Amino acid sequence: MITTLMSLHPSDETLSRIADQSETERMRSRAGRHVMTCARCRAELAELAALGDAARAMPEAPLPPALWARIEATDVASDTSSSRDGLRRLDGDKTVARGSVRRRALVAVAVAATIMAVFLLWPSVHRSELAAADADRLTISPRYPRAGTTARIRFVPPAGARPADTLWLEGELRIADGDGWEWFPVGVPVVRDHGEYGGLLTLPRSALGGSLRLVEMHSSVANERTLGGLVVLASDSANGQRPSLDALEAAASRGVGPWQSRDRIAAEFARWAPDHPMRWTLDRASSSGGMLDWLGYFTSKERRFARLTETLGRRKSVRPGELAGMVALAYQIEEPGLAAEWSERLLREYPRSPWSAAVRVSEIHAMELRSAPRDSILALIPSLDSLLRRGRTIPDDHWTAQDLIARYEDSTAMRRWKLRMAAAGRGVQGFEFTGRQTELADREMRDSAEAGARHSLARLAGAGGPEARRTRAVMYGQLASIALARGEPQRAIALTDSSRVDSCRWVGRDTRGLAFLALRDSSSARQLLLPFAAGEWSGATAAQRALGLDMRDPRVRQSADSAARAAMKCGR
Amino acid sequence: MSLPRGTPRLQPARPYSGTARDETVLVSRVMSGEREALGELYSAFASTVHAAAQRLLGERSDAEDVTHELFAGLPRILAGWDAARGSLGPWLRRVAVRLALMRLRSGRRRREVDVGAVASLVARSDEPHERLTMADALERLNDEQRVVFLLKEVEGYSHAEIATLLEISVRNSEVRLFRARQALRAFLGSRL
Repeated sequence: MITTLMSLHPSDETLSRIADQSETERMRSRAGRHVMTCARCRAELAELAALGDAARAMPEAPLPPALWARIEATDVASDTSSSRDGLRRLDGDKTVARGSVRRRALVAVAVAATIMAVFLLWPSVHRSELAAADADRLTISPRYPRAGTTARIRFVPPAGARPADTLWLEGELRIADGDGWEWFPVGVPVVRDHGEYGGLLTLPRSALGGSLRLVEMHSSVANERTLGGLVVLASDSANGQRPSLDALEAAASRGVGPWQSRDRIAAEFARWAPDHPMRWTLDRASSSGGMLDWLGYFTSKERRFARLTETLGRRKSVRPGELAGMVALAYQIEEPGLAAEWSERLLREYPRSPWSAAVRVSEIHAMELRSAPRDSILALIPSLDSLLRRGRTIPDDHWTAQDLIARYEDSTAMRRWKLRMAAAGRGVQGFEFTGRQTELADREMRDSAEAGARHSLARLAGAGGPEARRTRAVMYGQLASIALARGEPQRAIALTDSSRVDSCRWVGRDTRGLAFLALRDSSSARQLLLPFAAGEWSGATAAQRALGLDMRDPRVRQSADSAARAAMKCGR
Repeated sequence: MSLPRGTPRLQPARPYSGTARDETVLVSRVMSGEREALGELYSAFASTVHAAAQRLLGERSDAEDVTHELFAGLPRILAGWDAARGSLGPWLRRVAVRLALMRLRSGRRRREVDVGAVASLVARSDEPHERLTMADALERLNDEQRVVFLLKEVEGYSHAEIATLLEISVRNSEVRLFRARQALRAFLGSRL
């Protein structure tokens, strides 16, 4: 669902890049100009800026009182150890790095036993208690429900917290679909009852698993609060005592969300599939960092990878999820060559698996990040095309896939891909003023997009919560756009009424405005479209032309700017 | 460069005016082995050097080692300073960053965890969304992401400079920063 919304806004990655740019630099790109006029994107940028502000505002750690004495006690830059360690030249600056471990080595020896005990215990204590604390607050019963059954959700708010009476458990659960999989949207109410909260989650048939979040929804679009994360793992055993491997892989592969979920999924792997490579891809410990260097060697991802290579190499049959995990692990330890070996095996043994397409997309993207020669990237494109054509499932990272197609394939391949995306309810990108109507002029595209939107709306039936509300608005906006392209403005207006599309959203607003314009209701049209005419984003000129605005007139410019500001404030 | 044994201990608390001329004179004095001059530099810059190292390395003892390395080696290190290229403070801070990065690369980190630290980590987990601070959240990032985030947001390096320092591509620096921001937002939830 989140990815559907991305059709209208720059990706998070692009926003992060824009956050580092000056206003002038921003104006040079389409995404940058979009951000200037989009309330939601500006709010995102403000959050990114707040992260930097918070980091800069962190109090500085006080200087250890004994440090000066320690420096004084050293024969400053005079002793032979300086010469022994030598001058090190780093990136153009001459610096001296001198070992200073003697005194600490003695201390380390003295307290070695204590520290070792803490070192050895720390990861398990830390993780398990973290998981337990949050798991106690937001729980699902039974712990591993079977697909098609209903599970009970319980939430105990932290002491002193006063969340709203109704909260929403939302996110997506992966469901098996033949050789592939789909993601099923979840949005169930979790309601206060005597200080605690309760709700019921019915798992779809063929449900595997996923990571959900509990949110408090406010009237304001921008003020939703996440109160906790819940990992849902379906069981395939008769007694429901353990999760299925498919469920574990599903939960690990996408939307692991906050660190609590990530750690919890890692803990589930450790318990039920300790030798699965995905377990180690979830491990947040630095690959180079052990508590001590030598201990780090035995616990490092490199070591794990070597051991898993031996283990899996001996097995006749290895699951596609395990092979994908090995590819991911190889990338985490910076071994692209080994990653390529495992991905070749995955593609050879499981050409129809969604893992194969997902891995190939990630692999090519990783090559781009490493500035690999274009020829070596091009050599992989035919296999990508073949995987995307044959697979039943659209890769989770489908926007990256689309970017790759745009960069390396022809317009026929791109049209084929877009039709498929539209049919899957992944949305038609852009506003009416930025090419949406051009795309929908293609009849096959209109039909595919309509089928996709209806399919998405049907799947959302019964789902509540902010995410479901947003996705519904996007889908109704898409249906309205299709109606407008078919010359049915009345229908477009009906599809964007306030019961379907929140009037505070920009989604559908452009379509509704143009529909009014087609019906010669210029007053309603102007009210809706004026915000689009402000600023210098890529659709501004088209909006100005639609309304017949003369932007050389300062009063017109001011009026458009005011309308844009009012629209941005709406709902806040 | 050796100082005579028995030199009286200094209290490094003298004010430092920071003009370019003062800096040049002070640097010459340190390079000629005047411990009092070293004390002045320590008073002026040790806090900022230590803070930069502590942020990057995440451990007090590692930061202490880096600060010690820098000041103990300062008479030699200062040979690389060029007054024409900028004032001393930012330059020392950059040297500290490089020393910290060297330490990260070489895997010489201590990662000391005392019982108190473990207890506070566990206590924080009771209300993760309410109590997590930026420092806690940074602690939970992996080294790659934390270093790029701090270099960009706190130390003010450009992606091109970060790429050179870490021997990665500019794009990779951008991606690491993006992932760090994503993770921090997830850790901090609604606190920002």
